[in-house]
Amino acid sequence: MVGERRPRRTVKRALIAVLALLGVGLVFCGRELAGAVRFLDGIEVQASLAEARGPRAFALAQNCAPCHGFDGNNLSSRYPSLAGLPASYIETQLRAFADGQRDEPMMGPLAMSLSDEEMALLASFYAQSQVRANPFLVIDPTRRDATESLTASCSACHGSALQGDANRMPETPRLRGQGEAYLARQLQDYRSGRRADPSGAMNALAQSMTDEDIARIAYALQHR
Amino acid sequence: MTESEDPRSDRRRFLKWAGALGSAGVLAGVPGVVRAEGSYSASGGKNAPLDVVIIGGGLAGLTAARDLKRAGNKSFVVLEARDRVGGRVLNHRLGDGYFSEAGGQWMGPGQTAVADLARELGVGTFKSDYAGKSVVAAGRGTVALDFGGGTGTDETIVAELEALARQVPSAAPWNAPRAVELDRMSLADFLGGREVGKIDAMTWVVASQMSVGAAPSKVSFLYYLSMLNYAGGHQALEGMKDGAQETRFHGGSEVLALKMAEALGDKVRLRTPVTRIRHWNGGPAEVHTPHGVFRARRVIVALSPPLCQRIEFDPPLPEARQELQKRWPAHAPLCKTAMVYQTPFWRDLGFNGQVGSVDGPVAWSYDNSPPDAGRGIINAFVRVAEIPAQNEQAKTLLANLYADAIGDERLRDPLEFHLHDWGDEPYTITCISPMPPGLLTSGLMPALRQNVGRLIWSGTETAEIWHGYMDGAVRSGHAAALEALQGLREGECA
Repeated sequence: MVGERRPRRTVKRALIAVLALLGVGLVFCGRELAGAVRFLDGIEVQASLAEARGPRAFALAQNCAPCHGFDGNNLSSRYPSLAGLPASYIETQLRAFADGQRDEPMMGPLAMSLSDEEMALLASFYAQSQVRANPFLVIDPTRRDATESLTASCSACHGSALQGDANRMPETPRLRGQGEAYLARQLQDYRSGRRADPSGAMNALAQSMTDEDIARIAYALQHR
Repeated sequence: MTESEDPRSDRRRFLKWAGALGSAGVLAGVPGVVRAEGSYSASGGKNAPLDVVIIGGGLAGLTAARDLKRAGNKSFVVLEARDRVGGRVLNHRLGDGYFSEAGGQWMGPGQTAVADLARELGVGTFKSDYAGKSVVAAGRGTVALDFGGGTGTDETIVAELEALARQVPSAAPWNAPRAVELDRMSLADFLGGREVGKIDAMTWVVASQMSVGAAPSKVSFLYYLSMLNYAGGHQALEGMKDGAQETRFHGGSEVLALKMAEALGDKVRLRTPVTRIRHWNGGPAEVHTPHGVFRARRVIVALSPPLCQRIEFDPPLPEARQELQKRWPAHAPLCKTAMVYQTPFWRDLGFNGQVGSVDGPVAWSYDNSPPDAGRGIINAFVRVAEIPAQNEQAKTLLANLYADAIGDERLRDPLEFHLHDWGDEPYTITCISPMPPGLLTSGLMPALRQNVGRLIWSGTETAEIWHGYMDGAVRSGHAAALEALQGLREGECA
């Protein structure tokens, strides 16, 4: 994204001047003026973010944002949060979408449109995004014990807090913070073979699960 | 309003017979025992093939079916996978019979095919209401501006875009001068080489996601120019005033589909997904569904290329067509919501209900109230990842956002909230097609409209103008019906 590099203060002054020229008195437009200044701050924050995260990666990530969140933190439960996933895992998944190993009608064409360099840029972008807790997630305290026992065995590969470990297991994603609907769909896909785990572990595990098991485990994982 | 003009009565009547057909479909679905096409044979005995099977009950498929019927053909059937017709056209159903569109909804100048269809079906139109101030938001700040139904885009850039677009034929952009060069570029590459301010650059991201379905970095510049070409200019494509978002249909755009389906009666089969097509190259083709096999002399495939990709073809399709289907972009990243109030009271405050945000949940909202203003409705394109999964939480988040942006506490208490996430629909998958750089000049594009064997490709993506729009769908339906009738006639002569 290319923008002119006028100093921030100049932009603000220009806005104030325009408002004055329009004959809008400061007394009457205090709210509007404050809003406009905050708006310009918001624009500056975005521009600074683009600069800090790398303009190309930032521009590419805008295509992923509507489903995965601006910085890879997803508030809905349908699509995965990409923030903090190991870069290697993200790249592997993008390649799997592109070559059809992972059959996903939306991600397939998207991944096919990415060059190797673009995949690496996106993987690095999301791996470096900070994981944020979902403030809308309501945890039922009465089910907390059940959630911990149900997901205890997941910790062996996905980390004690299910946060993943990019250094020790770069192909294993974090589960913490992922949405219930997304997790349930992945378990169903592992069970049916639509998604293949190269190690075979997830497919073997999912084989033994009933629909009810999957629903309970997905709920439990989301609420850990 | 008479009953025939009341969209609610259209839906009631359609659902009544559709429900009956659904039950019949289940009974007919005993594998290997009943061949569903038997009851549709027009002549030549029970096992004679149909003239035409149409796959897809969206605007394209229904238009094709309507044309076949008007041409006197009775030997056809429309197979629709969902439990409804309309495809990417759908209404949110509000209380007291009000509606708000959840899918494609607007018509603009130059969209003569959908305008003609509406006129023939007796569906009236009315103008979108965009008078007043729009609010643009970034971070915790907002600015209210009156765009007058325009886009506020830099005029120098618009002039350059329009001049370039005149050289790009919308039906075959790959034939444009410098096509490869323009297709290698993204819209972001073009903007990056111009003097574009920070605010404008971010506005382009939001506008591109809504008009083309992706951010500028993944939109082929050649593709964007082809859209400007068929629209006749930037304002005509992106604007509300004199633009493609100017006009709505009484009862919502879904009424077009409901009226066509009702007139087609039992020719439309709901809940009948096509899983496989055999013998498409020789024929008659065999169209396989869970409810039986339909044999047909011609098959109109009124689906987007990504949906075609979900069907098994035996023998396999030509390589170029397979590759095109595989690579055709398919995603619907913005869900559509309707927030309903007693009246559109924001109009009295000088606002038009439009809120656009570069970094929040709402990409763009707009006043979608009915023409009698009997309800106040703010529709919005919403980024799915930025709203909570629970509807009640999403409602509160968005209602508070509108209240803060427009500055009226009444906006915090809507009567109703509706959300439709198109990503949830396996039989939709995509919205408009965000063509990435390189695909248009890959050499694969001629396969989009190249009919093969008994197959006739249809759907809005195949239209020569207004592809991606309802108008394109209607055009493609007309074209497919003509191809089918012509093909049948040639078959008879042979």
